[in-house]
Amino acid sequence: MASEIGAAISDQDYARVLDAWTAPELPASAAQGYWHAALAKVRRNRAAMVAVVALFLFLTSCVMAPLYAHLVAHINPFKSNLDGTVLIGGKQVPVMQSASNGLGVTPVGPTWRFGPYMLGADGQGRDVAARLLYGGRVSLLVGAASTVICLSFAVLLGIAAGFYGGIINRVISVMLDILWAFPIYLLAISLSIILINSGIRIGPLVVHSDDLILPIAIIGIIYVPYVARPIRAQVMTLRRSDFVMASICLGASDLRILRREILPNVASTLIVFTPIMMALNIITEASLSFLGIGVQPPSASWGTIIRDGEHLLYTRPLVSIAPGLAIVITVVALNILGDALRDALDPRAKLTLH
Amino acid sequence: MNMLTGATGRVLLEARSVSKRFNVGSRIVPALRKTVHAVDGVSLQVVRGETLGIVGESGCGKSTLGRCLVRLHEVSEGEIIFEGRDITRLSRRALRPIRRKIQMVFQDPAASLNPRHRVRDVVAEPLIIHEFGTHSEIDARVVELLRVVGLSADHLERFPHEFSGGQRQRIGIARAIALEPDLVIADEPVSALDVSVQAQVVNLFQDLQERLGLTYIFIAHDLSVIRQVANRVAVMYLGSVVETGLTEAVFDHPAHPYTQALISAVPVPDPDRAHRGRRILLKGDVPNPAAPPSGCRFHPRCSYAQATCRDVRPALTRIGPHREVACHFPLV
Repeated sequence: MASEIGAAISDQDYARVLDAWTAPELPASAAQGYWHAALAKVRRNRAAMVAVVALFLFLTSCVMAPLYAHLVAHINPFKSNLDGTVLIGGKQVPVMQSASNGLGVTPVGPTWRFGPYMLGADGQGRDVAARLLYGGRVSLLVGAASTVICLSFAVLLGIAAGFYGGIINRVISVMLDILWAFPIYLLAISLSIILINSGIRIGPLVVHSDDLILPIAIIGIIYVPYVARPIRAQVMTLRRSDFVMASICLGASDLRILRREILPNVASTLIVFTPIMMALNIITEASLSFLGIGVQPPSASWGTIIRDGEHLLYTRPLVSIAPGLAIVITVVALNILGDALRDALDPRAKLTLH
Repeated sequence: MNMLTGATGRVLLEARSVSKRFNVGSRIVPALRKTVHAVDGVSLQVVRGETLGIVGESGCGKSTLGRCLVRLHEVSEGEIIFEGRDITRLSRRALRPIRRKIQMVFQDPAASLNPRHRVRDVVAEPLIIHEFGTHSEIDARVVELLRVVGLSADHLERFPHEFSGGQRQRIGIARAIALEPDLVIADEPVSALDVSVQAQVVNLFQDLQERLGLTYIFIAHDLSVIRQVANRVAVMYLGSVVETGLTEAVFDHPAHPYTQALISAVPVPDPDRAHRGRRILLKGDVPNPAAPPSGCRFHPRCSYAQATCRDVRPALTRIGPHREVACHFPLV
C-alpha cells in the first residue's frame, strides 16, 4: 500500500510538497531584509518612539539656542547682568534682589512667561532658560562626539584583536585591561585635572585648557574597553562561524571577509551601543563639569549649570533642577531607545525576527 | 567501480599521514597542558569521479580531517597533495586558484549562510571572488545554479531564514558548485536535516555528481547515507583510519571489529531481515582523545582483543584489492 502511494508521487512532486510544508510561513515584510525588519520593529515600539520625539525636540531647541537668546530672552546668556532689571507684572524688578537681612543677593525667580528670565536668573544674573539651551548644545555635542570617538576606537581594536588573534589580540587585550583596571571616574578625574590645568602642547599641536576637545577625548577614551571587549568577543565568534569558513573556502580575502561577513554583524552591536554609550557619556560629562573639571567657562553645559545653581539650592532650586531634569530626560530617552534597538537587533533574537 | 582499477594517475587528492593536534588545557602550566590528536596519521586517496565516504562516531576526527583537506585547519604533520601538487603549505594567495577546485558543503546550513545576505549574494559570492564575468553574466549564472539545485529565480531576493533546512542546504550546495569544482567535501551535509528531507538532498548530490562529474568526500556518521552515496568508505576511529574498502565489501564483510560493530548497529527497516541478537554492543565510551589507549586504540572496547592488541598498534595493511585494515586479527 505504502509503496503504491510512493510510486504515484514522483520525487520532484514530493520535494515540492515537503518544501512547501516545511517552509516557515512569513509575512511579506520579512523579505525586506534584516535592517528593514528591525526598523519596523523599533517603529512599533511606542516607548521608543516617544523617546525619539523627546530627543528630537531637545536637539532642535538646543540647536536654536541663539534664536531663543536673541528673539525671546533678548539677552546674552554668557554676560553677567547684576545691575539689570526685568519687567514682571508691569513693574521693573531688579534681576538681583538684596536679601531683607542685607546679606547677599537673590537672583530673580522664574517668570514662567515666554520671554526674558522664563526660568529665572542664576547667581550672575544670567538667563537660566537661555543657558539651558546653550548648555544642552554642549552636553549633546560632547556626548555625541565622545561616543563617536569611543565607538571608533572600540571597533578598530575589537575587530583587530578578534579577527587576527595571536599577538595582536594579546597586545590589545592587555591595553584594554590596563585601562579597565582603573575605576572609571578616578581615571576621568585624574586625566581631566592634569589636562585641564595644563592643556596639551606637543610640538605644533596646541590644545588650550578650555577647549571642548579635552572632555570629549577623555570621556571618549575611558569607555573604550567596555565596548571593545564585547565587540572582540563577537568578532572571535564570527571568525569561527561556518559562514566565515565557507567564505575562506571560496577564497575570499581577509578584507572581503571583514567587509562582507564580519562588519554587517558587528554593525548591529554598534547601533545598540550608540544610544547607551551616549547616555553614559552625557552623565560622565555632567559629573566632570559639576566637579569643575569638565567643560570650562565660558562654555556652559548642563553639568556646569547644576554647579552654578549649587549655592542657590535653597533660594532658587530651579537653577540646578532644570538642567538636572534635562539630563534625566535625555538619558532615560536614550536608554529606552537603546533597549528598543537591542530588542530589534539582538543577534540572539534574529532567528525569531519574523 | 571500474574507475578505481589501476587509477593511480587519476588520484585527485591524496592525504599522506596527515595529523592535526590541538593544544588544550593550560597554556602556562606545562603539567596541565594536553595535546589532542584529532587526526592522527591519516593517509587517503580520492580518485577522480568517485565518492569517498568517511564514517565514524562523533568526535573521531572526520570533520577535522575534512577541514584539514580544504586548509581550513593547518595540518600539524603530513602532506595534502591535490592534482599531484603539494598544497599543504601554500600561502593563501597561492591557494586561491586551488580553492575554486575544492569546495565544501557544511553540516549546519543555518550556520553556514550569513543571515544578512540574500540568496543572490550568497550564490554570487564565489563568482565575484573568482571574477566569473560581468554583472549580468553572474546574475544569469546564479539563476541557473538555483535551478540546478531545485530552487527558482523567485528565491533570489530572499534571506536564509525564510527557507526550510533542506532548501538552505540547497543554497549551500549551489554556492559550492558555482565554480564547477573538481572536488566537493561534504561535511555531514544531511545530518542536520529531517530524515524525509535527507533523501532529497542525497539525491541532489548524486544527480550533481552525474551531471558535473564531481568527486566527493562525503563525511557522515549515518551508515545508511554512506552506503547509498559512497563508492568507497574509510572508517575512522579516534583520529585514525581503521578500515578502507569498496562500500559493498566493507558493509558485507567488515574486516575490523569496530566496523562490524558500527554496521550491526544500523537499524534494518525490514522486520524479517532484522538481525536478531546479532547486534554487537560496544563496551564503554569513545576514549578521551587526549589520553588514547595504548596499542590498538580500539582494544578496550573490542570483543576480540588479545594481549598483542594492548601493546602493539596495528598499521593500516592491505588485505585485498582496494582493501586496507588496521587490525592484528582482521575478520576477513
